[in-house]
Amino acid sequence: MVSAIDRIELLRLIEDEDAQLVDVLPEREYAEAHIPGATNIPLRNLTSQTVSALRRDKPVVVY
Amino acid sequence: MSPRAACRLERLGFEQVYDYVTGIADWKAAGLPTEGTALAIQRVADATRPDVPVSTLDETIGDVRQRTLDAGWEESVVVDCDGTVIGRLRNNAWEADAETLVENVMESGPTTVRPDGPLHPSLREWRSAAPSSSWSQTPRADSSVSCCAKRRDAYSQANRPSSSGRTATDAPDNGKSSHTPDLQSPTRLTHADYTTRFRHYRLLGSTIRVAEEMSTEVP
Repeated sequence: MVSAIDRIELLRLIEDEDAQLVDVLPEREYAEAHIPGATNIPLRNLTSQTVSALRRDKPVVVY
Repeated sequence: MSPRAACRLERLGFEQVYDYVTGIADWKAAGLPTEGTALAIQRVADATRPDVPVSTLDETIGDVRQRTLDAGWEESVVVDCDGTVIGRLRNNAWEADAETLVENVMESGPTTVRPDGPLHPSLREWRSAAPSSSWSQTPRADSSVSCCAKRRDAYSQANRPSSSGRTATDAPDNGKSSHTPDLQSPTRLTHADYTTRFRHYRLLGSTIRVAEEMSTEVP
């Protein structure tokens, strides 16, 4: 089940659980500004192939 | 958009999926670093320092003065028991008797600016709103202080070439601050740097704020 989180929980997940950040905004918006370390996978491109590089044993945070 | 992405990831077999609902806007509003071409725009957060000394109403000027000067500042933010900014100490306050209580010599709080706001327009507003002020604060939504910008530091930062090669045309004022921090460009922030900021913000217990669109205007 997906959990909605705030910034504090996000920071905790990054620090304590090595969470993977996925920016699902369009490429242009990602290019302008994104959270350091975030991977860009635009929503329309979110497929089993494009997420293959993500680890399944670590939390994934989308924004 | 992110709720749909989160659901799709779940269907793709990911078991630990989280949705940072307020996203990059909330991140920027907190003054946290970002990467990308928008770094050409300097933000207020780029000119702030998290090490602002704070004091409480029931402390004595002697104690606060020593702690403030030892930290390399000439001003102290006065907070209540919840950390809410209620005033500041500067100038004549330091000349008071050492046993004088802070509440008897403090003045009203410093100008408040948003950390995600563009630096250059904020400097203009700062100057017109508080021409005698030497510094300003960037608080959280609940009014407790997160970090401060000295006017001299802010002008120094604004006059550094941005990644677009532009600089501000404002001249630095004649602030009396003797301490100019090594204000890093966001483009040079390392993972360790922002991890440190993460910890700082976690300690402060940030609350959610909504970011405004950043202006590209340069004075």
